Amino acid sequence: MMNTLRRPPWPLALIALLVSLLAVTPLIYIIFRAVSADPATWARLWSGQMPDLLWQTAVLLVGTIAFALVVGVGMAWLVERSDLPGRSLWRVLLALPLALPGYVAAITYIILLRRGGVVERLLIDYAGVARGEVPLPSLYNVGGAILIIGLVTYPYIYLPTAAALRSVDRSLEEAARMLGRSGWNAFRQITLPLVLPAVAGGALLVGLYVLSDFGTVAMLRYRTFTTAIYNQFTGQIDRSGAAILSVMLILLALPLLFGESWFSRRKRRLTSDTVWRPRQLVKLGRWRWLALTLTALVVLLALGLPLLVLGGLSIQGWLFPTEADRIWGINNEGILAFGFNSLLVATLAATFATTLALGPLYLAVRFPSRLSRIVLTLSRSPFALPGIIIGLAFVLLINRWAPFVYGTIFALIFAFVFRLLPQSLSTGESALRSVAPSLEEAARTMGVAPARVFWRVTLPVAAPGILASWVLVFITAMKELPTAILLRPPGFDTLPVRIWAAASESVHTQAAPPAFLLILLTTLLLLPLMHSQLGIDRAMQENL
Amino acid sequence: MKYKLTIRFAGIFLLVTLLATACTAPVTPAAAPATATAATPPGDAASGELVVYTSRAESLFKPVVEAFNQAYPEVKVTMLTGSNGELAAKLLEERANPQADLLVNSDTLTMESLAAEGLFVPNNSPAVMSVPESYRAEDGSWVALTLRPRVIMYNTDLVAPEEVPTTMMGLIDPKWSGQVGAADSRNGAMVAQLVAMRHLLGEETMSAFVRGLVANDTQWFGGHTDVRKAVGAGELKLGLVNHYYYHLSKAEGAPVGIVYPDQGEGEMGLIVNSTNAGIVQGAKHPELAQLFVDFMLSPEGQKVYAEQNFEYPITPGVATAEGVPPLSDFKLADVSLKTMWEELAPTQQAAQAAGLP
Repeated sequence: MMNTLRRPPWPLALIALLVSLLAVTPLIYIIFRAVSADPATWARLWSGQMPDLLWQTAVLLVGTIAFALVVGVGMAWLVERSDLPGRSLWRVLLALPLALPGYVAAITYIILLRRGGVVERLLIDYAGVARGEVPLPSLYNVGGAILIIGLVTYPYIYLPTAAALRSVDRSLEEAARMLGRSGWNAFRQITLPLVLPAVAGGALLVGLYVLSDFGTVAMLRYRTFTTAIYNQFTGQIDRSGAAILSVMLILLALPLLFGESWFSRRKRRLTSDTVWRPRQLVKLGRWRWLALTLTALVVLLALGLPLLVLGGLSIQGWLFPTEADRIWGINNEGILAFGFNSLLVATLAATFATTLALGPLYLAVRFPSRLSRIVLTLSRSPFALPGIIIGLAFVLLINRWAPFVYGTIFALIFAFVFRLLPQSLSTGESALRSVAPSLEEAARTMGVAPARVFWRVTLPVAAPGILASWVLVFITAMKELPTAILLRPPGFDTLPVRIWAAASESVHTQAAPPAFLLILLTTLLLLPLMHSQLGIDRAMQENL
Repeated sequence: MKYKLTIRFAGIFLLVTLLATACTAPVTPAAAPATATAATPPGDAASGELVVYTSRAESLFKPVVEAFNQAYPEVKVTMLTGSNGELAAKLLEERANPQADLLVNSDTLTMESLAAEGLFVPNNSPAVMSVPESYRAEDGSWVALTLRPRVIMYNTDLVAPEEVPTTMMGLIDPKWSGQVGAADSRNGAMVAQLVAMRHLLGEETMSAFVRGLVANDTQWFGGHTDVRKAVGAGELKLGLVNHYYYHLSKAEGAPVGIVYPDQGEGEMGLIVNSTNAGIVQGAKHPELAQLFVDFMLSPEGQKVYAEQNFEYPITPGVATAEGVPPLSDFKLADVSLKTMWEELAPTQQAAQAAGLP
């Protein structure tokens, strides 16, 4: 019996291999383009842009991770381990910025802080400050980029850390205290090692986000690899420069990627919930109000202000439309059409990606071998690829092999599926792991065919986790900018494309309505899942 | 064990096939050249969908489309916006499988290099042929629509008119440190200016110009709208822009002035760039594209550009907007951007080496 289970049925192996190959196609293509590039191009890039790009990217990477760590771990501790007032509300609100694309946060703060922007006008009108003497912090530097990307990425650390803190067994900490350890020592020697893998895994996810982010740094005019790749692609007839920089970026991302998968395996081993008792809350005493203020500040900066500013501008444009609003088509059926386009592409792409991912995942979970592990890691590796590279590879690949779909929404959805597949492969794994093999074996002993077992037993049990994975992938699809810029058919703009178009013409207020609609849709989707009793929120936190 | 081996072989086989096809798949040759005018000119009954790729600002291009639709209500104009480079890259990638009928862009050099790649269809419509030859391809495969010289704009509250530099090289004077705004290498007009300067003044001077701007802590922007807004708001004293950005700020009531640089004896004169149109090789509706080009060259179409965006109309006899002095008042640089696209790559490399962001 065990023997037959160990050996994967060949259709499963074939599907898994095909999906993995598909997932790495863009990667292979880009590497091929880079390797076949003129050595002179390599030399020019290496001595010209590369040192600067590496430095700029490294500073942004380290700074953002540090900032997100402070916010993410701090908030997780307050919400899970202290008597912070309103914990259950903050727990949900703090997770929601996950639904916010970095470029939307960037637009919000540009609208607020630019010259002639909201803050300057308020200060001139109500505080009596003279024009030109308003002190405004500039966003167009590394500090601005770190703050803004940090505000939308700290949930990657906050969610797994909170989940880990919640699941640490209280009796372990108590045992340490009874053995004479001080509170701090017990925390350092028991809690910290148990929570650390979750924190580190989250931090690496933040790092991957930073490396692959395009929209935010482009809007904040901060030069990183992604924007340099884009400039190489659009500024030169020879596209091999873009491929070379892409390969460099992939090399940078690989350690993060492997680290992340290493930590996520450790995470599973260290947390057990067999004899679990709820944790004890730390009394904050007079620090309570400071903690409350800080928590509220984080929620305000990361979620409140974007909703307020973008919502306010949208309502203004709707009630008092200007000529520009009419031209941009944002106060009538236009915006709804863009919203519909986004929903259509994201729904289809997320569904395909989630379904396709089940193949390699099931192979890796049920038939663990070195090969299945390699297949899985391989197919996850493009997770670190920025959408700009995937989009680029697909423009080239589709034109070569499937020109008839180019310029249709099928090409767009196709590329989106590839963009999302690595994420589906990462987030879907724990869903399948949550299905005890004994359940499937029981069905098998009763003579049910394997495919039917998967359909009737595995899928229903794993459903909440798979749904959670779908939601995360769907949100990524809704936010996806560069793939859509490169592959949208003429006349088929999505919300992110509209935001991008308005921002590149420096008419940021026209970007507000599509941005508002976008974050409204994504947060509304995330919200009920955070509250749900189905265990989805837990599945989601473990997925991250 | 046997299973493992089979899987491993299958994987290797698939990988190899994939790589092999990636290397050898033939590129479908572009469709045979056709002349746009070979099609019967459609009358008022013209109908269908015209796909236009454009790097013009949407807020400016839509009024042109609306005016066109007044004349041809049955033609549905679908546009796809993007930067000059973005659209050029897209057109090149999809040349075996063209999606666009027409490209309307705002950089002569890009247009010329695309034409050299054989991306456009010759067009000998009378409207195109009446445009001076220095502002169109010989066979009409691309044609300029409007002109825009490079100028220096300044904030009149912060700088007295007599202080403003009268040459491009004056911008690198250390006294303007931290006070100048300019577009970076993403911007076609900025790159075209550097190509012209390299041609006229030599690579050393052009590189010195870029190095000087960088050393002067120049504020770099992706586009000129940000430059003009920064100058208008007093955030910066000087901005290196196309002329109409000054007029747009002026029309908004901002305290701005303009200098047409390099007008003196022995100086290089104004560098003029153009916005252009070209009908894409293999377009599904070349006849509609031609109709649209002819419309944009007609006094009616030219008026929209001239009045809404203060640009110089290419069609003789169409008046400039009020307050825009005719180009004939100025000394123009003795250089035609259309013949210089071959100098684009070396200029980009030199400018990059000199530190242009």
